[in-house]
Amino acid sequence: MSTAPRTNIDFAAPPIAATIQRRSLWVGIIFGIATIIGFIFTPAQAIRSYLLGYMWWLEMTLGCLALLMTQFLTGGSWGMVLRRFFEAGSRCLWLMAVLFLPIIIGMRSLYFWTDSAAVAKEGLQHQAQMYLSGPFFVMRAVIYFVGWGVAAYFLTRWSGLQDQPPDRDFSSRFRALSGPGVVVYFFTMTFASVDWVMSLQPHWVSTIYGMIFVAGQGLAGLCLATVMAIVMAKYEPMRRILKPSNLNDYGNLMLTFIMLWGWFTFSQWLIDWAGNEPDEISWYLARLHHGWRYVGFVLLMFYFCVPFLLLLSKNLKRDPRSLIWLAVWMLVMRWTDLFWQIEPAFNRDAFHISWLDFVIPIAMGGFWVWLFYYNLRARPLVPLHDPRARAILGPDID
Amino acid sequence: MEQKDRVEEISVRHGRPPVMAPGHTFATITDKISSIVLTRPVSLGWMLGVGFASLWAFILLFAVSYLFYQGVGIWGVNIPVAWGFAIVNFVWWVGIGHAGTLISAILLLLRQSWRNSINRFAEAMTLFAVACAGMFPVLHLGRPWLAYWLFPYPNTMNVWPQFRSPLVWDVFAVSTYFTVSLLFWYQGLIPDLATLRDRAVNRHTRTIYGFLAMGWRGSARHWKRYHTAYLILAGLATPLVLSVHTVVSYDFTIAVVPGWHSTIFPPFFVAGAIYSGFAMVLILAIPIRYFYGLEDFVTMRHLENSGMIMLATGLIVAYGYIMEPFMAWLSGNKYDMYQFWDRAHGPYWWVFLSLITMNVVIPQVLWIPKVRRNPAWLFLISLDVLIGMWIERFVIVVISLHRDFLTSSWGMYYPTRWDWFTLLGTVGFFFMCMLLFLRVLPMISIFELRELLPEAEVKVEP
Repeated sequence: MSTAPRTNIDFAAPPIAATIQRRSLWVGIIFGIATIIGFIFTPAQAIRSYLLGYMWWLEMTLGCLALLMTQFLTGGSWGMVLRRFFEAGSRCLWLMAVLFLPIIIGMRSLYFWTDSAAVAKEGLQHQAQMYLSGPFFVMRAVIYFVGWGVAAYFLTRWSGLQDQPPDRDFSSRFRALSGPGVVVYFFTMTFASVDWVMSLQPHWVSTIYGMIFVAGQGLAGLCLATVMAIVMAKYEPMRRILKPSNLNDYGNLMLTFIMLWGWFTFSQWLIDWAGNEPDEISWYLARLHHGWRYVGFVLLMFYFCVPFLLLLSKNLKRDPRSLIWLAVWMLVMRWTDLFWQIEPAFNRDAFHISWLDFVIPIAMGGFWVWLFYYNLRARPLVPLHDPRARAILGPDID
Repeated sequence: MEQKDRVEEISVRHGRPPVMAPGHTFATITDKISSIVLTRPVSLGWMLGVGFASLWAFILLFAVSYLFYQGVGIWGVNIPVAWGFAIVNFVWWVGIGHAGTLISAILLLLRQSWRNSINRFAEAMTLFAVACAGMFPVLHLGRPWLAYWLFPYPNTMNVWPQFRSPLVWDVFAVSTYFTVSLLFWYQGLIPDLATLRDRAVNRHTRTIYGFLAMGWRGSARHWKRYHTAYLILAGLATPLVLSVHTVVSYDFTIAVVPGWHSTIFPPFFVAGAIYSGFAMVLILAIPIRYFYGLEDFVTMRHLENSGMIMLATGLIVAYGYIMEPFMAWLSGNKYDMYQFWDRAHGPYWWVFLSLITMNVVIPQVLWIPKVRRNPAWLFLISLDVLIGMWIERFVIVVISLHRDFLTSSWGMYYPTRWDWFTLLGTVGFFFMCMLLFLRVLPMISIFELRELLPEAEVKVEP
C-alpha cells in the first residue's frame, strides 16, 4: 500500500470551527450563570431541568459513540465521512461524567426513593428498594462510565494513530472492540435509563424502555453529526468529501431511527393500554391527560408522522439546507420526548414548563459544543492513513 | 474503479472471502444455474430426499384428516394450556420466513450485493414457511371450515370480527405478508424464467417457462420498469419484516398473562424471527452449495455474514431473556416473579435450561471467526438455533399458561403423537416444497448474480 503524501489539501477543520468553538463557550458561560441563579432561587426545579438537559446531551455523546462502533462493524462510506464527528462527540464523554456529579449531589430532590419517609408513604416494592439505594446507584453509574469510557478512549486513540504515516489498517482491532462494545453499551444504557429516568416513577416498569432510549440516542448522535458535517461542508475539506449520496444515507438512517422509535413507543403504549393494569397505565395517565396530552400529540405528529413523510423525499434528503433543518428539528424532538418522560413525574396533574428547561440544556450545550469543536480541531477531518478511508473516499483525499 | 470494488478489494486482501469466486462471466453464471433445472439429470439423492420429505407430508395429511374427523381433542391442548403445539409451530414457522424477506427486501434497499446469491431460495423458504405457519391457526380453530368468518364480510348472521383482538390482526398481517412475498418472489423470477425459456430444448418446457415469463424480452424499457417495480415491492415488503412478527407478539402481550404481557415482545419477537430464519437459510444453503457445486456463488462470505447476523440477533434475544426477569423482579409483581421462577425451577425446568443453552450459550461460539467460516460448525449451530427457537416458543406458550393466577387451575401440558405428527409433517412438507423448487426453478437469481460482475457496471459517457 502506498504511503505517498497526499495532495496539498489541508484536512484540518476550517477556521469557522474555531469561531463556533469560541462562541459556544460564551453561550455556555452566559447561560451557565443563569443556571447558577436558577439553582440558587429554585433548586428543586433546577435539578429537574438539569436532569433533562443532562439526558439530552448524554444521548448525543453516547449516540456518537454507538454509531462510531456501528460504523466500524458495518463499514461503508456513511460512517467514514462522519467518523471524525462521531469521535469528537465520543470524546466529550469525560465532560458528561463530570456533569453527572450534580445529579448525585441533588438526587434527594429528584428521586423520592432516596427518602425513607416518602418510600414508606408511597409503598415502594421491596425489590425496587434494594435496587434503588444511593450507594448502589452511584456504583452502577461508575460502572457505566467506565464501560463507555474504555470504548471511547481506545477507539479514538487508535483512530488518532491513523493520522500519521505509514498507512495502517486497524479495522480488525476496531471490530474486535466495537462488537463487544456495542453489546456492553446496549446493556449499560438500558440500566442507566432505568436508574436515571424510569426510577422517577419506580412503580412502573417496562421491558422495552432501554431500547427506546437506545433508538433515541442513535437518532440524536446521527442528527448531531449530520448538522456538524453540513456546517463544515461549506468549507474545504468537507466540501469535497460530503456528497449528496452521503446525505441521502443519513436521511435514510434518520428515517430508520424515527421508525424504530415509533415502533417501540407505540408498542409500549398499546400493550400498557390493552393490559390496563393499575401500575402500568398510571404512567400513561399522567402523560395523556391535562396539558401533557398535547406534548404527546406533538411527538406523534412532529417526531413521527411529518418527518416520516418528509424523509421519503429523495430531493429533501440530498439537499443539505433541508436536511440540516430537519436534523436540528429532530434534536428538538428528542428534547421534547425527554421532557415528556421526565417532567410529568413531578407534575402529574397539570402541564408545567420552566424557563430552566431551556436555559440549562443550552448552558450544557455551550460547553459541550465547545469541547466537541476542540476535539474536532485536534485532528484532520479524515483519518488520512487508514487505507479504507482512501478506498472509500478515493480521489477526494488522494 | 468503483468505490465498492475498492472496498471489496481491501476486504479480500485482509482475508475476507469474496462475494463471488473470480473467473466467472455472464455465460458461465447462466450455464451453471440454468443447467441445474434444464439439463442436469435427476439424482438418486434428490429422489430419496423428496421421497422421505413427501412421506412426512403424507403423515401431515393423515394427521390433519384425522383432526378434521375427530376434533382438536386428539391434541394435547386443554385448560389451562389451550394454546399448545399449534401456536408454538405457527410462531416458529412465521419467524423462519422473516429472514427471506429481510434478505430480499431490506438488504436490497441497503445495497448489500452479497444478498444476490441467496435471495431467491431464501424467498422460496419464506413462502413455504408461511404456508406451513398459516395452517396452524386454521387447524386450531376447532371448526376450520368456518375460518372465513375471520374476514370482515357482509353476512346475514351478524357475525363480525372483533377488531380489538390481535388474532384478527394476525389474519391481515399474515395474508398480506404471504401476498407481498409471493409477488416479490415471482417478479424476481421473471427475467430468469425468460432465460430458461430461451435455453429450453424441449417444446413443453419452453411453453411453460414462456407462459410464466409473461413475454419478457429484456429490453431497456422492460428493465427500467422492472427495477422501479422491484424497488416499490421491496419498499412494501420492508415494513412487513417488522410488522408481521410484531402483530404475532401482540397475540401474547395484549393479554395480561404473566410471561406474555411484556413490552419488549415486539422487537424481541422480530429479532428471534430473523435469528431462526437465518439458521434455516444456513441449513438450506450449506447442503445446496455442496451438492450442486455452487461454492463459487454461495461463498464463505455469505455463510460468514449469515453467522454474524445470527450472532447479533441472538444477542438481542438474550437481552430479552435478561430484561424480562429483571423487570419482573424490579416491579415486585408476585405473579410475574413466580412465572420466571417457575420457568427455571418448575416441572419444565429442563426445557428452560435447554432454551438458555441452545439459544444463548452455544451460539456465542460465533464470536470466533474460524467458526463462522466453517460450514460444518455453522450447520450444527444453525440446527441448534432452530431447535432452540422452537423451544423458546414452547416456553412462552406452554410454561406461561400452565401456571397463572389461580393455583386451583394449574395443570400440565403433554403433547400427543398427533401433535408431533403435525409438527414433523410440516417440516416434511417444507422440505418437499424446497426440493421440488430446486429442480424446477433457478435456485439462485441468474440476472442478479450477473450484476455482480465488473462488466455489468453501467458506464456513463461524459
